[in-house]
Amino acid sequence: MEILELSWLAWVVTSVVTCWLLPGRWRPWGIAAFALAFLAVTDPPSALILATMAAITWWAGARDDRRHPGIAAAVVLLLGVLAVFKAAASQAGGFAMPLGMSYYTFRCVHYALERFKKNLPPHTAAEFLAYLFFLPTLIAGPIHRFPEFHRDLRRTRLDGGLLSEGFERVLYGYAKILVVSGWMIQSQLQPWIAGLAPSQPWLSTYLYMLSAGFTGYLTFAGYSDVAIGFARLTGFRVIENFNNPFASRNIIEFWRRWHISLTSWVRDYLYTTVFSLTRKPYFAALAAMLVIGLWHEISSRYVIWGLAHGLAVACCQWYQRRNAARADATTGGRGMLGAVAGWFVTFHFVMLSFMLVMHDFDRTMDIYRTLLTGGR
Amino acid sequence: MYGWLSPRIGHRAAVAVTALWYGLLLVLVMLLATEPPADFRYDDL
Repeated sequence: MEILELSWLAWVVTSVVTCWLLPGRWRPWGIAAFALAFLAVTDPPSALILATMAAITWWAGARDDRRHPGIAAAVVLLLGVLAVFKAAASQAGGFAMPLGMSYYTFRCVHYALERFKKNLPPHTAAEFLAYLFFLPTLIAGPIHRFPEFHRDLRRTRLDGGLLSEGFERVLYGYAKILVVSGWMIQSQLQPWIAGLAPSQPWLSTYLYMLSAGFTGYLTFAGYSDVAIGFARLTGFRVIENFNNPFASRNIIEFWRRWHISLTSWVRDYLYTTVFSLTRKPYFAALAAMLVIGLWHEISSRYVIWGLAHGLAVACCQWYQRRNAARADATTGGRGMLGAVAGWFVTFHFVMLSFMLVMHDFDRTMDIYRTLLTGGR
Repeated sequence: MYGWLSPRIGHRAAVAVTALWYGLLLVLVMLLATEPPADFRYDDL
């Protein structure tokens, strides 16, 4: 099931209309019931698994006794279940993951931890269920947070501006996926690049790398736009997921602009914890990026990808610290040239790393070899 | 888009341009949604 499928579109449009027709006190139940019905019809095992995880999350967060091991056990259980499914799905001939489980699990952990820390506003079980079973963001994120969702749920009223923004985002999302990524790049540009391959192998490989990277970005950003757009049509402002990531001048900035809902989750619940326990920022960065890699897929290529980005982030942290120390003695920045060089290195590092996760190991090495030596 | 255009080119023109732009995108999206997706791989080079 994907956002591009007509059946998902039919479900989510019906859900938006129904939510506005329901009286305010029934809206949370309506939102949750619609998403559960969607899961039950399209993929019943997913409905069962996600409902069980919701029950565990509610139970764990509701414990008042701070010494009770329930919260730690629940977080380990939720993440363990996700890891088991991801490991099984990555095996050859493995089964499909439950719909939206990667996003859903991180929402559950966020909710359980914040409720345990008493950081959440007073709310009902229906509002909790509406947060977890929110159809626009259920299958492809973003990993939005409970307090913002709850605020919008309580004060939502029909707002022409929000509806217009929502419609525009949905349209731009589908345009990114189908027009720019699907038609312009994949159907028109890439066959043209293939025509260059016999005479100019280096150029064709380089252009292929850029086109594949942009295809991946536009497709994922398009999914996020569609989800954010439908959320707005339902009356909710959920977190943005991308902010011109390819304009980043260093790898830390890139990760502040790319898949923002995931990176902010990892920063809040993993990086901060590891850093406060070890006082080693480089180690925390490495751990955070490794987890981001494994969150995508439990496989050797994503381990290498995560470690490569972790090392790059650690190097960038070291460089920034060193420069900050020097800046005390010398004034002035690196200027325009430094910014352009930073952008160039970051952009190409990201594109090269995309090749690693988009292809098997042999093809990735083939691409790297061609880019280094100039011939295929 | 309308919010950005309106103070620059006036209300009526902004409505017309926005409607045309949305219409064009909508037509393109609907036309291309029926096309089979291209699956270009590195092996095709």
